[in-house]
Amino acid sequence: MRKKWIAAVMACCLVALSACSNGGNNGEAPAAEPKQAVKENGEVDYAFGKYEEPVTIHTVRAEYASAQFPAGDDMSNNVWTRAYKERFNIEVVTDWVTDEYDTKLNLAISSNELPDVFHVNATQLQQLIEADMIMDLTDVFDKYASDRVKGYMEADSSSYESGKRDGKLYGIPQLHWGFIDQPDFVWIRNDWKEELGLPDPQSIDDVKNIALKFMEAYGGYGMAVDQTLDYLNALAIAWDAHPDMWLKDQDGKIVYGSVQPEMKDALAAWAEWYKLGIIDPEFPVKDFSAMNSNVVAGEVGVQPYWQWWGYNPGVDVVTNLGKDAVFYPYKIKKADGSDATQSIFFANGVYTVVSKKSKHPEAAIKLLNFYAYILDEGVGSETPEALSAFIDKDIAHVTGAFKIINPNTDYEQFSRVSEALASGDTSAFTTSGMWQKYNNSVEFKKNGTPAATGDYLQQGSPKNAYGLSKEIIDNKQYIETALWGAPPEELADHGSTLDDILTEGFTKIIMGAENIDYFDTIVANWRSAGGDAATQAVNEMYGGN
Amino acid sequence: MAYENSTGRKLFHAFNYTFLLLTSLLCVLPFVNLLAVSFSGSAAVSAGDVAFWPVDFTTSAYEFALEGGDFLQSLWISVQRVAIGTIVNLVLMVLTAYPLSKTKDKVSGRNIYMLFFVITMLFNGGLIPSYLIVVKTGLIDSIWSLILPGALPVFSMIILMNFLRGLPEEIEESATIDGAGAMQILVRILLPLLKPALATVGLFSIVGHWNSWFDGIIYMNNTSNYPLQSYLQTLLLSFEQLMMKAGRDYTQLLAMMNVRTGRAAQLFLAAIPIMLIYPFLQKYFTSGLVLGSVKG
Amino acid sequence: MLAKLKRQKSYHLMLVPGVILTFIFSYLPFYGLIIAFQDYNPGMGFQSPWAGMENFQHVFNQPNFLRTIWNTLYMSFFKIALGIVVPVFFALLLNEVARSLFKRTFQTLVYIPNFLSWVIMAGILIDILGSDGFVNTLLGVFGIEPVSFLGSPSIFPWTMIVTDVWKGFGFGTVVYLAALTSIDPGLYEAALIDGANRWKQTIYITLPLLAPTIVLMSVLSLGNVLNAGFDQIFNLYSPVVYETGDIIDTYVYRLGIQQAQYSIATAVGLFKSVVSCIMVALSYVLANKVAGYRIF
Repeated sequence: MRKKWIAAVMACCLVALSACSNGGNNGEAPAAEPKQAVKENGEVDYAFGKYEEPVTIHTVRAEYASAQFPAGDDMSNNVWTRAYKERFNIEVVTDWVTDEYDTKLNLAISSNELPDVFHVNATQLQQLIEADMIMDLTDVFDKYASDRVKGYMEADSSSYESGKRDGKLYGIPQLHWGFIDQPDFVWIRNDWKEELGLPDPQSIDDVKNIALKFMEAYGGYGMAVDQTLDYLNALAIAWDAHPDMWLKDQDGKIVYGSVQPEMKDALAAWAEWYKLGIIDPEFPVKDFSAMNSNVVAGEVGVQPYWQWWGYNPGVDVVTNLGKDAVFYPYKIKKADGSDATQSIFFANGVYTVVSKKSKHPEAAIKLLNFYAYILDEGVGSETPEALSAFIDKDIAHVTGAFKIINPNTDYEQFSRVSEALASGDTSAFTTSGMWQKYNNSVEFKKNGTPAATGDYLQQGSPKNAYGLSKEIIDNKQYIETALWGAPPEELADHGSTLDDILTEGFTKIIMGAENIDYFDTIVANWRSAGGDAATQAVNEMYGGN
Repeated sequence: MAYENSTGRKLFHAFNYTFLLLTSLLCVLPFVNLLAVSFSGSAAVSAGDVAFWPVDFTTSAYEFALEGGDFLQSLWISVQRVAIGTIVNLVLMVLTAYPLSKTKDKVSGRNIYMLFFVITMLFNGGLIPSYLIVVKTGLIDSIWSLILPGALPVFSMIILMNFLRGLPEEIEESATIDGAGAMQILVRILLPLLKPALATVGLFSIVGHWNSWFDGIIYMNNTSNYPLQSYLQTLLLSFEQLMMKAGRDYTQLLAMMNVRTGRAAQLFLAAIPIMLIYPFLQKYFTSGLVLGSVKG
Repeated sequence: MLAKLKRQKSYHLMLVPGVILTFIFSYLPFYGLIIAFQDYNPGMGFQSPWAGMENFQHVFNQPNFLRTIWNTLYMSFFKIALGIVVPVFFALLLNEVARSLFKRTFQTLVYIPNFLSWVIMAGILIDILGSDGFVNTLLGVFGIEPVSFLGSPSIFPWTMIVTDVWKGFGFGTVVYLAALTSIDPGLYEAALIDGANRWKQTIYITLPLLAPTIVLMSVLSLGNVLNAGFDQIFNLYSPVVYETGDIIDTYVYRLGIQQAQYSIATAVGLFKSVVSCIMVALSYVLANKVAGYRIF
């Protein structure tokens, strides 16, 4: 009797369970074309037309801590979400906002409980396509994307292609600000450098000597880096090494830069630096924010960094230590004084995808059109106040999956802003971004306003990052990664395990726990743990051309 | 008792007391240091001047914790979790322990039930499968995801069961003769007698619910739904972001507190509830050990 | 007869809620374990293609995985061993203290860390073990170079072992002290008359009488050999100490959640569960044989 009863409950539960696990499979076709506003000539306005009936789409977002919202607004309710409602009749519901986006999204993927529209990285894109959980957007994109957005895709067609599988578009790449934002620099604290009367660094050895002089005069350690080694790795190009990058060797075979012999030279030099106390003795336990908090506290004066040093930690440095404590960027040079060859990576990091269960994939495209419109065409068609509300104080970065970037933005912008700063003639400005960079550069020169530090150091200062970047790009002082697009599955699956092996081993060499010949052991470990398989897969996928 | 007065013995006592005192201090001083750091000025903390007494006394780290909203929000979730979770635990434990305290002659299939529960102590389905179940039951992002998966703590239930078995049978028999049903006997007669055992397992539940953090991190998508310990766990890594998000002037904030004082204050606040019930914990945990080892 | 049947029915009814919840949250995940033998595809759910033992083969070929097994065994061995030696030693010394006020105070102080979560403890340890933290400041006073307790692969496992013993030894102390107080004082008096000093009394009377409790506690901790302390290590480790600090549970977490290798993570989890289950079962059998301890 009892046993029967238990069996019955078990059976019920199993049925319920299998019903649940089946639930995800019936990918429903999108509903018939919804009614939306028409243009003046009577055609349906696919790109920007407002829906007649309200449309609700669900999304998820990563927390964006540096956005400064007006009172009452937050990640899920702000000027953007209200505009979606007013201008498109699209209600965007944010299911969750989190600091650990990839973790939560991976969990959500594992259970097939996806929102309608969301951001994924290349690995997740791959996985979702294989699992048949996201929608083929080829036709929807063709029909609904604005000419401007399509123009972006033409401008960076390799990113566009990377969102496709077998000719079908699954992920719309968010794109990026162009090559100009990729070169790395050595940033050096200017008031210290001037106080000690030091000249600009002309070689990598000069950088070392400046760090030593700073330590002598101001104490502490010489150079701020963190546990990921990303910042030290930025300097590797001074030894002709290209860590983290897949590149072609002399025979045309694609190899991984981190395991090439040049890397050994760089590590040997860093181990010496560590011994001299130049490299932060605590770097293995410092993450990004711990590293930068030392910079903000004025404990260190040299930092290898990207072009956006002025935004973070620059703003805090100026707030905390004053305008004169800014760091200026310098090109990374080799020991012989020649310019190092920069590494250019495949820049598209994330894709906007639409769940197969979504009823309105076109709504996502409309909102992407809207983003591109505000950023590129807002000047002139929107009021300055409205535009400022959409863009300033990092509000431009809170739109999550509804974001797309003009890949030429920064290059064009910088060219015009630097001309205007030289001549005082601003008539060539076409985007709000140009005005922002220009105004902030002027503002920083005049008042040293901390919030303007980022734009000033990127574009407006006498030694600005983009000026150096533009030279590097114009003179082709760079090589591009051979892995131009999504990684092959072997790499997507095991890449981070492989990188852990390298980071761990390199850290030991730098700290002197192992001598430099340990490099060969690390490489052997890396190869046997899957490095060889990954290399082969990369060559199969990208080696042909 | 000449032996107690020998020089060797006295020497031993001196050493013994010193050793015990030092060891005990080792267990307490870190908390004193934490407390001192939390009430100190940021400059003194960075300079390493703070030991066991605040330097440049300030309460700004506490003000920051209490004004942000996130701390109080997660505290409130933890309070709800402890309250609901403990009640659910107690009800289910009593309901399960009582029939299982009977022999298999009185409750047919008793040993099968027992096996059914004990297997879950030995074996678990693992991270991803458990997560999938919580999703399929629709509990994600709800406080019930922190309560229902562990609704019946088997070990505590066994403690209760053993306690019930230790009670004299006559108590129940006389009530049965009076015609009382099983439920009536349980509620009217046994429950009052169970009080000491309930206090023990109840405290187990309270401490367990208060201290767990991993389920919050996994089952709550929205950071705003995190219970206190999950929230604190994220702070171990990113206190700085929290300070930036506060919307106050960052420099002003940095002048008054830093990551170390701020974090110390929040950790200490989270430790207070445990310290408050500590006297009970000590008493009942010890007796729980004895109860738990009563032979079946 | 009818009353008896009715009583039976109410017993079974009482068991219903516990059975259902345990079934859903503990047994259904067992079904989910099949993804360990599949190439799990979230879109297809449990109907994903079968992979046989491929996931297991893959993971056992990973040097990183074999390393985590070694780390797990290494740390849990010392945690278990010291987790017995230290509290026994401390309890013996505490037992020599005549004044009950002191005895209770010492006992209370060392018991405190036991009740705080690893999140809070980790926060405290990160603070006091950092380069400018309290411990290194103290070492600096004696002219010792700062030690990277959490960042050096050679030191990290011992930082974990020592802090784990530190957090937990108060609990063991209470257990052993309870056993010590139950020893018949008459035995010592008799020994004293025979001229045995305190040291000899400890060797010949106390330790032999304490042995069953020690054996019991050791045997019960057998079930934990593959649990080297996820809560502790997850909150304190960093990539630089993976080599010596990564354990099975942290590896499963990274694999399953950060790298989305659902099937492989579940396979590793299943492997661990099976081994643990055997160890736990073994420990209960041993505990019953050696010390007559039964939990049900």
